Amino acid sequence: MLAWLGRKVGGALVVLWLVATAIFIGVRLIPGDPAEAIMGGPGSQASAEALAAARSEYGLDLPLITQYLMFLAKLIRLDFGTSYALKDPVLQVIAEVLPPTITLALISLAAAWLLSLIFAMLAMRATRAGQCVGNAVEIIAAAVPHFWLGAVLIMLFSSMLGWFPAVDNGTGAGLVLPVLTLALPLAGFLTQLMRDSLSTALGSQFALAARTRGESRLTVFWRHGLRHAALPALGLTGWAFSSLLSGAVVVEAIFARPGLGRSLLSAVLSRDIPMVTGIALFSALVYIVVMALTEAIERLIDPAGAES
Amino acid sequence: MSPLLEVENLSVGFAGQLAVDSVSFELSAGECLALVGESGSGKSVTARSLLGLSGGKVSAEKFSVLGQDATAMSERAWQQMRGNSVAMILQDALMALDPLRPVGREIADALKEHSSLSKPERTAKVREALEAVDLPEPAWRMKQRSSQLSGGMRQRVLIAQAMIGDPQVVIADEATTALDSRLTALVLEQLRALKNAGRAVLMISHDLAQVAQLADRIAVMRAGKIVEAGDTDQVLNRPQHEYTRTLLRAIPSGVPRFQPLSLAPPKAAVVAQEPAKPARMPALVVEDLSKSFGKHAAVQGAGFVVQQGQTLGLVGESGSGKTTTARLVLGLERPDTGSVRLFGEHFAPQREAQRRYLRENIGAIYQNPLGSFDPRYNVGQLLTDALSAGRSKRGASYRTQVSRLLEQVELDPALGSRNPRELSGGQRQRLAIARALAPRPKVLVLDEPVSALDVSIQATVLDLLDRLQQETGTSYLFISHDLSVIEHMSDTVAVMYRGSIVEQGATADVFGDPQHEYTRSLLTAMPRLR
Repeated sequence: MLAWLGRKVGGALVVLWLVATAIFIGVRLIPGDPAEAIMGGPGSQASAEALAAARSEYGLDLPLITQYLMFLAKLIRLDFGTSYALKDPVLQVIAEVLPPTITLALISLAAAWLLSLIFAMLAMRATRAGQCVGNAVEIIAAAVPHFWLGAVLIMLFSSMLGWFPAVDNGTGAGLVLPVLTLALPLAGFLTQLMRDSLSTALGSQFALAARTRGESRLTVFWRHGLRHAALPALGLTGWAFSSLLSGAVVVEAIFARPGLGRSLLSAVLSRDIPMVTGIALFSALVYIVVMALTEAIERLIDPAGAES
Repeated sequence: MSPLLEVENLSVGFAGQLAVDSVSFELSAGECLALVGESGSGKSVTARSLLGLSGGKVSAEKFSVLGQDATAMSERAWQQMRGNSVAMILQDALMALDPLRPVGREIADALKEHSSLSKPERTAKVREALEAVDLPEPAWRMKQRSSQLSGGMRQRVLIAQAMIGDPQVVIADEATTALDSRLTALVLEQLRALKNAGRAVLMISHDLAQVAQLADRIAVMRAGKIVEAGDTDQVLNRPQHEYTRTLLRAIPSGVPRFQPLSLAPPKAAVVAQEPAKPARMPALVVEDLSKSFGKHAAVQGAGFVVQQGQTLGLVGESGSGKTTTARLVLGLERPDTGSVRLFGEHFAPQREAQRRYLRENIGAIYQNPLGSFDPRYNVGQLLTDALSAGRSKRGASYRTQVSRLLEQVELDPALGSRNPRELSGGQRQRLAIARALAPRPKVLVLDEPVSALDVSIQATVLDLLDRLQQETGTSYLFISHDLSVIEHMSDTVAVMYRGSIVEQGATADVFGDPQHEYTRSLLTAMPRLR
């Protein structure tokens, strides 16, 4: 267990370093002068002297390799720098916007799991025609883009029916539509996966053996089917979480929610390099943590499978 | 005493098709009845309908289980009966236990359904049940999952699982199929103990030789009907129905070499020839072969010789190193020590480039042919691929050769456009043989080639292998856990135990006068009819 943890932490550090390097290169490929961004964007019409001063202040006039090493050295000290646009420390900004996004992503993940479990259970009992319809619904759900789904949900449930607010009013009802927007496509994916492994498990010899022991169909589903259905879906959850984070960029913009995604969007638009770097690194970290967590749960469910 | 099971004209239908057609039998306490037939004969469906799990439409003139009218039983009543008064042991112990749950909990599930015992009480009972089937270290093993147990332990767990509710009727559905002889003996011994303890045992099998040891009565099933039923002695020694005779003829043990096991080969029956005189140079010489995986020594100092045109039978239980030996001989695995020579030429250990020209001389056939076929190729493409040594899969120039190969293994050349998945188990194995024969190899390594087949199909495939050997003079290294198959097929036999060859010699000598302790224990466990 300790060796496993050690391997995970070591691997995580390597991944973070690679991500940091990729971000360092990536943000410098964005066209435009970062000094202009520091001075308030291209519209600010800063003088040449002011731009030069900003460049030397932020070390932008140094050779690239020196900039890279300085960047790494700061990262090791957990110094993400100061946002160009907000003039606040990046860590402080992230600490403010992270909780709402993580809440949104976690609730969406739980909702997606719940929805796909219900779908998969219904599909078990459905007729052939019903299964075809269900399959089509899943594929469509998995394929719709977030921005379209979000707009349709707002139109339907907010503008026309007036059931849920489009913008959060602090009661929690404002979470319903953003969560649905994120959870429905994911539920489509998960259901496809679960249905497949569920029907394999329920058609297997060990399910028959369980029936010969006197277990009812429902007991077999809970005791055996669910475990086997959860395993592949769990393996997907790391990916699912990262897709939720990137979906949050769109959803937070549509529903005007504060959060990591929205901050990332505005940081990219205003070429706020420290902010983009910080958020990207944080997302990578969240992803790594979620992956390790799902792996730990997988080991709990299937210790023999995890060893091989 | 009235019978525990009474079945009169039981029929089970699926979508209008009758899988079981007017079957009648009864079974009393302390008695063992065997239902024998090949796969698809309806014997498993019959067994499942006794638990209300056939999944089809059941009708019967009389169908009573423990005195209750089964035709009118509710699902709830069935559930109370299953695992409690009627239990079932399924075929494959690995598949019949949930790989994600500890085996102890699998066993305890029946108690959860049928008793109000507390958790510690259940654990104690599971331990008792595992002790009763002689599982070593039950307290520790019950916390493990089935994949962490050996084959023998799994088999014991499966029996304990069926026995935990103290059932009056035990149904064993192919419970000994594909097990090596010592595991078979273990299961039979457990079933015998049940019978002696006054339980009614229903055995389902495709192998008459295996049920013969235990059954009081045998019912032979074919295409959903019981074609013959009677006392074991009568069915085995004075069979009335032609199909029973076919099944009996198919049992390979004690049948001399090259004598056909199946009737009516499509061409004229093979004239039994004198076995080919051993040529000067042996086909395959294996010396001092060893291979370890980590600390585990899979093969230790194995050595044997396969003469030209002859068969060496390599026999041993699962995990004894037979398959690793096959892989070493085929040059798929590099040996730690030792060498393999093919017609005097150095074959292993050897650089691939230097032995490639020898490869066409040695072919292989495995237990599960379907897994060795590319699922995107049809039959003709598979054979063309093999004939052209991988250069083409559609070449028209190979068409006549493909037909000839198919005819050689007694398959209809019209099957060329089919996908192997559409073929039956016996046809697939014939296709695997045809593919192996394509480069005209001089040596074939056959790793459990008939272990997945019913006895009657096995007989036809063994006859085919015999005929091909006589026609082409191919030498066989025949690997199997099944002693009766080895006895029938081999000129010489090597017995493998824990990675070493403990005894080898002429078949008649090894089977008639075994020298090694292990060989003797294997032979005692072997089911024999003749």
